[in-house]
Amino acid sequence: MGLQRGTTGKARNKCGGTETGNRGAPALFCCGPLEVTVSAPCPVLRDKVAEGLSLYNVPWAPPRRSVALDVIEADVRVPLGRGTYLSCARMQVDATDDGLRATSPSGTTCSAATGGDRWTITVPQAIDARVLIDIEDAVGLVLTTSWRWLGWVPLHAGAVVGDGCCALLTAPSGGGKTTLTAALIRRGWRTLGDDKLLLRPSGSGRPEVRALQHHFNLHPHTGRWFPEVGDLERLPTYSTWTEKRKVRIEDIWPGHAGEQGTPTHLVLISRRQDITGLGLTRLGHGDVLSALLHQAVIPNDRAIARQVLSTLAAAAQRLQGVRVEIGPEAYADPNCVAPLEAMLR
Amino acid sequence: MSVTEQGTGTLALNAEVVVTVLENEAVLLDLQTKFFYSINASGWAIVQMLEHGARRADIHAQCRDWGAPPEAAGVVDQFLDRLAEDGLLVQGATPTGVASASLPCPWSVPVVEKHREPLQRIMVSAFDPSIPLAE
Repeated sequence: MGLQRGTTGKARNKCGGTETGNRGAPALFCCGPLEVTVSAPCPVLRDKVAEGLSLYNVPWAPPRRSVALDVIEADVRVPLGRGTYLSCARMQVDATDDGLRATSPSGTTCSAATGGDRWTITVPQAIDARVLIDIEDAVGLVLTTSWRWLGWVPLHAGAVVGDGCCALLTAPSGGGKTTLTAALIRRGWRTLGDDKLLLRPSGSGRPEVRALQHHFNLHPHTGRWFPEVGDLERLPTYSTWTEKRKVRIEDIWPGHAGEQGTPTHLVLISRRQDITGLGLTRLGHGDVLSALLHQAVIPNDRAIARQVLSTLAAAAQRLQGVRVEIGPEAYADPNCVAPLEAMLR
Repeated sequence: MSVTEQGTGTLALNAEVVVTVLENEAVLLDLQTKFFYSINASGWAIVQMLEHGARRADIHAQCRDWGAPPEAAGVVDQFLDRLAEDGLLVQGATPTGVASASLPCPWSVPVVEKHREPLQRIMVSAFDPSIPLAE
């Protein structure tokens, strides 16, 4: 069976190959430092996995580690686990004798040997919306776990780079990372993404952050402050859970998508209904450490937890922190982020 | 009676605690409670002894070797009590090795700072550590 690079149906990413149009063949996706080969006989499952993997569309130079991902259907009911390794909203991940096994309420499971290069997602034969959501979670587990096994720490943060500065933008989901990123792009900064990054110590001991996704998830109301994004309402929502639309950074801000940086600052974002514009305060080292740790998933595995903690704590030591409080209509003023830029540069 | 008041017992770092060492401090994360802590260099030197298990008397003696004055025994006990209160220490464990602790700088009062916000126990996904919203 031939290998089909980066495409199953409409999904594709940047592994550099050509599309063969052979939907039955395994498909290859490059997701940061991984090359994931997906084998899924069922087209619905194959497209769902491809949809998740093709979001990681930033090209990374080789070498990349090869990972095989098999997606199969089987009516084997596995009891929901306890989440001893990781507990997520819809997925419990437990350590087994030889690796990891994730279980979900829909009956979807995902497993691999520790440090291994072959994952299996097993779904019930009756595929419904819950199963498809749980596949998203399983694909996220495959990637994040494999990245950690390579020494990278997945970071739920945005980043901007410019003038020798690289600022990590941190906030919980829906906390304003994307909009602040957009506001800084508008002022000339480049971005490594608004939501998902990989971090590790570089050879010099300084942290290194890399981009994974060159698209944004923008809420339609963003157009009120950023007319260049156009009418987002015309685009389909990408998830039943959010009004946000997925747009390519280069389509809106050509030349503003970056690929890597050496973090120098951490920006902790929060919304304030009772202020006008932006409020800025310096953060102490303890607050920087706390903010960074709260942006990463740390599994309950001593070796992995130590690796993640070590990477984040060392990075936090080198970062200057700024708390940014954002008033409701702050971005109506295109210059509102100028004081923040002055603190970053 | 607190863990540290039992002079002959062995104290050890809870197996659920992971530690990373930085230039002049260390960070402890309790995987069970998800609370994390910063400790200074003297605190880290003591915690190194606890990684393999140590008696309180041995800890006091080692601290004196590092330059702690005799009256510092009280602050060392307070430091150990603070760790024990949060479940970071267990008592009575058999030492698993010989502690090779070192203090690379002058002795100072050991300090532990507990960070207010623990990490999430349940999160949105394997990538997003935010609190899940109700479906």
